[in-house]
Amino acid sequence: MKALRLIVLLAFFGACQNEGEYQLDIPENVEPFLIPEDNKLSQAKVDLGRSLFYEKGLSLDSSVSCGSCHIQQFAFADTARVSRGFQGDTGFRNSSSLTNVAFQTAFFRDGGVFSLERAVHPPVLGEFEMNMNLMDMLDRLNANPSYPQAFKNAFNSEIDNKGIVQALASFQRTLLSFNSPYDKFMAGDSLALKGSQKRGLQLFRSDRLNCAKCHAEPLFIDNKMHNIGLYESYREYGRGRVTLKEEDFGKFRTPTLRNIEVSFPYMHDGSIKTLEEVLEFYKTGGFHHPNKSVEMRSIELTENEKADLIAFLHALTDNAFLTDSRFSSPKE
Amino acid sequence: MKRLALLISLFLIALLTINTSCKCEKDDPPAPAYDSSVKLIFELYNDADSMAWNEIVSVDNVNEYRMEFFKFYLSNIAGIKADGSAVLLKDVILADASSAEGMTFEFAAPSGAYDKLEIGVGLDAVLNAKDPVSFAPEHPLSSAQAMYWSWATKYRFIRIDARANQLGSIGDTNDILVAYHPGADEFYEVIELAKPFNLVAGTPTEYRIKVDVSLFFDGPGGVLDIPTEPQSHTTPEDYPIAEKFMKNFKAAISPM
Repeated sequence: MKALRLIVLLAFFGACQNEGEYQLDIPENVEPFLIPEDNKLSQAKVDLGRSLFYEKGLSLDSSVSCGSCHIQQFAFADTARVSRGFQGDTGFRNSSSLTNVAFQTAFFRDGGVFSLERAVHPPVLGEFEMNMNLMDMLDRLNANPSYPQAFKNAFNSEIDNKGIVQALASFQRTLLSFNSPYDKFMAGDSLALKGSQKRGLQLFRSDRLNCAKCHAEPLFIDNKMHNIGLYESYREYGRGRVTLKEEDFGKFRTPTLRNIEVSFPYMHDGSIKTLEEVLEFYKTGGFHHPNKSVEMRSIELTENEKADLIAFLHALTDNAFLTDSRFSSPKE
Repeated sequence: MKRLALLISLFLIALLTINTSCKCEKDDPPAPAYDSSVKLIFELYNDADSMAWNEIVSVDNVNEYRMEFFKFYLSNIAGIKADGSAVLLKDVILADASSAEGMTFEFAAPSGAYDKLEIGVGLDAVLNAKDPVSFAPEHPLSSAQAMYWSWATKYRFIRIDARANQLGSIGDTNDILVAYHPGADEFYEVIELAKPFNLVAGTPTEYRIKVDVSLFFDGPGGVLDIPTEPQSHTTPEDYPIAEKFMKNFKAAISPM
């Protein structure tokens, strides 16, 4: 892309790290994210993280990997309402898309975790997800002929817990999606969006619909938590589960709309199957709830406008991202 | 003129340096020699009776109760001398009731007379915010200790997994699965164990601490009814159980 600015992240490679910087392509109109000083990106870390992301040995019964519930063709989300993990167990929330996950300042639906490194353990150790324990995980990776050398390449060290989370976080930081028709349009290609999609973009940005207030361009997130009135009485507490505060009940992190066409089903619990139904919900303004966002209000939306809006949302699909071989399983 | 300013600056810097070094010499007493040690030994009791690990006991509201996992954090453990000065003995420990070793901790300490022990029950906010990945597996705060709630980036202060049976025996069809996992910054509290002790140079001194399981279920926090309040993971819906348990737990720790 013409408008792409090449961000060259020169890692501070000390004696303990191997050389091999990793370049991230982030558009000019997007503020780059911060990378922890102690986990600068390198090709070796990203490669290792990619292998670990698809490593089923990270689950207790070797049945699932991170990639089992974060599937590339679905924008690293899952089509199941709630993913199945260890021995077919299910959690209680829909698997979030990892599209541009590095730009998030909080992770998981409730924002309970505030760094990508610390977002690694909940699914790996979670009894309904991968149900692994750390000591077994180290033993398994040590027994695998490829990992000891991969860790040496990435960290110049033996396999350890810190390296595992740093490598997985590094790989996820590379999951950048900025090559959709919308991005091309924003970069100056006026033909990248069709008429309906352009009208949908205008609607999306309009004060009347108020979509962009929370799904703010260009990332289509606001890094905040909202209660959208999905239920009058929520079956779970959302952000309140972490903070234990009543005012946070029913609040969830705003998900990105990039690749939203393929990251169905929708909402924190995967309760809405299609974009049409999502818009129907937003038309109502949501159920009454004491914590409901003031931004939520009922809106008038004609069938044509709905079609335009959905057409625009489809323009956020980045097919190159969904098929990029750098992000797929290295075993394929 | 410039030279004068330079000279004045150098003089002021020298003055400050001298002043600072003098202050250090005056204010900082020599560090006490850690020439002794205190051995904390936690012992399980059920009211007045000593209790072995895995022992089935009868507690309030249930006929039989048996713990299968019991670990708890204590932090900022300090000995308080007669003059009120505190000697930090250990920043954090994780007691594991499944073995005598897991309930015994020896800390180096300066010799002398101490009025009491101060113990933080749980983890203070700084410790509770630590990243478990940054610790070696054997460290109390490591993820390997199975005490960390990774989804909420905080620790369980106490973890008890147990079985109970209200009327019959453990193992029959009516077992109650018990899980008390309290953990929240606001639960942290420093308690005092007001039993004096004296540490002699070169000689370890034992300090025995009773952990009275019966008080878990009937203490200052109120009655914890196992059949109707069998579990808490410190979520909004079971928060009151966790709060009650923590109050009772603090009262359950006393010097012997």
